[in-house]
Amino acid sequence: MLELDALAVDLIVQGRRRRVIHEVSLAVAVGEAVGLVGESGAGKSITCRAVIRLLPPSATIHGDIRIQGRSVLAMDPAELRALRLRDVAMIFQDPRAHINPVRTIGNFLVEALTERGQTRAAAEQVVTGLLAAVGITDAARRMRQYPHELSGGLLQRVMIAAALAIEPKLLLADEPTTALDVTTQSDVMLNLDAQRRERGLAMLFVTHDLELAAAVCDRIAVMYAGYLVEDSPAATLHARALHPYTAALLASRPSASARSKRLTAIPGRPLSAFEVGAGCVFASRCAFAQDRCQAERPALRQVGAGRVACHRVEEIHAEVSAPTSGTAGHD
Amino acid sequence: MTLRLLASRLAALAVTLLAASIVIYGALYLAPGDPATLLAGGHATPAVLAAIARQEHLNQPFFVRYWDWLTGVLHGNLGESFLYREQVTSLIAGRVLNTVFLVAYASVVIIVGGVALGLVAALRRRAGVAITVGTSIGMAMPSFVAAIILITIFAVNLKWLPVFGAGTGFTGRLSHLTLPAIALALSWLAFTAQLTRAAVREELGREHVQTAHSRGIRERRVVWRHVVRNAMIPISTVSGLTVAGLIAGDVVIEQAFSINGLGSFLVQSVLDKDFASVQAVALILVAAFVIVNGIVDFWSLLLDPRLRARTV
Amino acid sequence: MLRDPIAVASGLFILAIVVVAAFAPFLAPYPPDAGSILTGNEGVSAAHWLGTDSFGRDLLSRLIYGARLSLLGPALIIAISTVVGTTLAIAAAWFGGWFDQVVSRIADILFAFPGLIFAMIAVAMFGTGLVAPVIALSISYTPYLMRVVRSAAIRQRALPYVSACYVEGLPGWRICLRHLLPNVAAILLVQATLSFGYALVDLAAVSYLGLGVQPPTAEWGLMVSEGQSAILAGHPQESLAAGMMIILTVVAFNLFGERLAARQAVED
Repeated sequence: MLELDALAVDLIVQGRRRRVIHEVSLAVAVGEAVGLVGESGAGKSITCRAVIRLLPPSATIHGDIRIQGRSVLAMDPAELRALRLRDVAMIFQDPRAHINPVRTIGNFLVEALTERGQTRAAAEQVVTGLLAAVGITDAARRMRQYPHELSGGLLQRVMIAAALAIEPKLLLADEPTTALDVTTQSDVMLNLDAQRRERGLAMLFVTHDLELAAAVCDRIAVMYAGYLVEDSPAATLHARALHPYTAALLASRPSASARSKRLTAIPGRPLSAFEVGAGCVFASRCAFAQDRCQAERPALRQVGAGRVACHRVEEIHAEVSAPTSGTAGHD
Repeated sequence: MTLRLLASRLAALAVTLLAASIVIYGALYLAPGDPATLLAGGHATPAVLAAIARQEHLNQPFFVRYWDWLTGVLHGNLGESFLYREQVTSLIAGRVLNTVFLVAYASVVIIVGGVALGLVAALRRRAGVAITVGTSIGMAMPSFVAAIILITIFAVNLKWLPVFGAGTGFTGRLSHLTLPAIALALSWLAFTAQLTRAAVREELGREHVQTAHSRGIRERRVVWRHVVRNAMIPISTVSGLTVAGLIAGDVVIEQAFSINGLGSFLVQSVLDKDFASVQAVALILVAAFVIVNGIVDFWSLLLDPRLRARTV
Repeated sequence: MLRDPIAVASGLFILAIVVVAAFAPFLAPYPPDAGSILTGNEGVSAAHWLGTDSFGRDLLSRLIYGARLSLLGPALIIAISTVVGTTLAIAAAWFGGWFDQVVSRIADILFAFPGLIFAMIAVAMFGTGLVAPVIALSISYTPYLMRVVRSAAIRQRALPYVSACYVEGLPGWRICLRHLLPNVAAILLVQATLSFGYALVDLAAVSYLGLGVQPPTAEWGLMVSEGQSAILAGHPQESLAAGMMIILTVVAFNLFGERLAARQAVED
């Protein structure tokens, strides 16, 4: 369905051109949900936006992005518009900022459909059905309201409904629940997940929450400092993360069930893509780093069911399986 | 809910107008000299002064006098000019149309020209720089200087358009009032252009515009429906300021181009010390200003649904 | 600030015209009212660098002398409105309650009068000259300044350090003077600088209409109107020169004020 082929993105940062995404190669199959996980600044949001070329005009994209075999980078403006109009829908993080405050909810919802030539009446019918599907009752009244009259959770459901309205084949969800409060988060997420599975849509799900990604996605791709460091099935990643960074992420999450004396944190701070030197991006913070890690950047390679970019992955897991307590696979 | 809002705005407007009218009428009593002398225009015999005092019931207390005057104005009686021995109403009758035409003409130029220039400046990079420079110069130009420059170019050198007077009929006024309207509009046009450019550029960067792009809406529609429509809100709010400038500028422009309007009449009345006329015309101009401001205010409320919830 | 080319250029220009105005008798080649009609409306020449006006008076000299009143008037307006406006604003922010309400209501009424109209009413009451318009415009400009300072003062007053001073026993007026005032001074300065241009134009307009400075006194606004009849005869120099001076001065003050505002925004 979606193929990212050695995708690299340069942005203008503080007046200089910097590479923020380095050689990300990832695939999303038809109907498959892939989570794109990482800390702030890892580049997950930019990768997601690059799929429909929703980047600032000064950005340059290298490599290729293919949707159902067609190269997105080679599309002319009309084809790109058609792609956005029919095949790929994006759900944004903060619904209040991303929906025009001076137009009604109804207008927002039907806009994409009327753009494709449908009549207003037909579009409204489709949309009303969708509002029910995302759990919004009293659709007729809601359609006449303005965004400031709805809560964050309701607005995000509206955003999801708008995305589903065009019957896309691929959903791009950029931290859809991060801006919501915790109780609303799970409601909205459950709904989104259900709707996706029901329609068999592929999804690229960007989040910083590894736990959430594991619950909702089939596969998880982990990014750090603009590089892809791991790409494994959700179940195996959860049981046993391959990359030290993923393992550290899993370990640093406070667990409601197990009691521990103190929280484990990853020493250091997340690096931005243009701050890394030669060698492995995670080397400066990795507990297993050796000289080779500092000098030579590991390539993404197949290890078991997933792909990992780590020189020492086999050694580390042999060490860890040994009787001493390890940090990986803590849960 | 909008009706309630309208009612409260109208009430506030009425209060402001009332207070302003008290100030204007009170000027007669605050000025040095007694009201009768002032009304007589400073040069009158004791007999005339006595006649005025009797006619205007000047022996009565201030508020009674004020009330009489105000009710008179509301009924169309703007008082009598003792200088010209005529009702003020008939003195200004022929002039009102010229002033209204001029101000309306200038307003159209400001809105259409300003917004158009601002849009071009925001959407096209190179033109934008030129427009920014041009508008910075335009904004610094007082209306009477603009008038002088236009007169110099068009009256002396190019002779394309008539320069003095207001003309008659619609087309006559259109051609005679073009240069004055431009002179009047210039600095406000520049201001509006800069404002529009800033508002549109700000709106272009907003997230909801990204959403529209991500859904495949075509560019032109995104610009009109999401960028311009939203940018109109801050533009309309600030446009109220230009109304004050237009009214003040109108007085100057009428004088510069020898136009027979309310403004030049006001200047003449002040110089002639025709107090009754000064009061009447000042009241009209201030009322016009307050009312137009109120309309613009209400218009921005209509444009932005978020304000309706907040300001009841 | 000194590294900002626009700020430096506009600041220097302002300084230059103030100096020229102050030292006019030493700098102007001729007295402002010396001339005869025989040398009227001459163009640029060695004797008269900018030519003469319709009465034969040297334009350059009249511009130099004109700077005195053209700058003094707005300076007075800004000074008065700033002092009165700031005092009212800080008092309103400090006392709040009915005092604030009354002051705000009065400001609302004043906002209803465009400055020029207010000045014209004043001239009708008190006669022509600079005094009436200056006082009227000062009153007219006060609410604008007051409004800006008041919101800044209210924000300051709400800060915890103010309550701390109050609890320590510092008298109200001292808190206002020592703490509130310096902190709103920056915004005040910007507003005053930007308003100077408006005041200059308004006052020049009053003189242009013949209601302000009277001939033969030299003042830029008056010169624009005096030179107008000569334009049709092909001698636009008086009006254009005076108009140019007005524009340049206004631009200088506007640019300087904008640079001040930009610098302040960065500091915030």
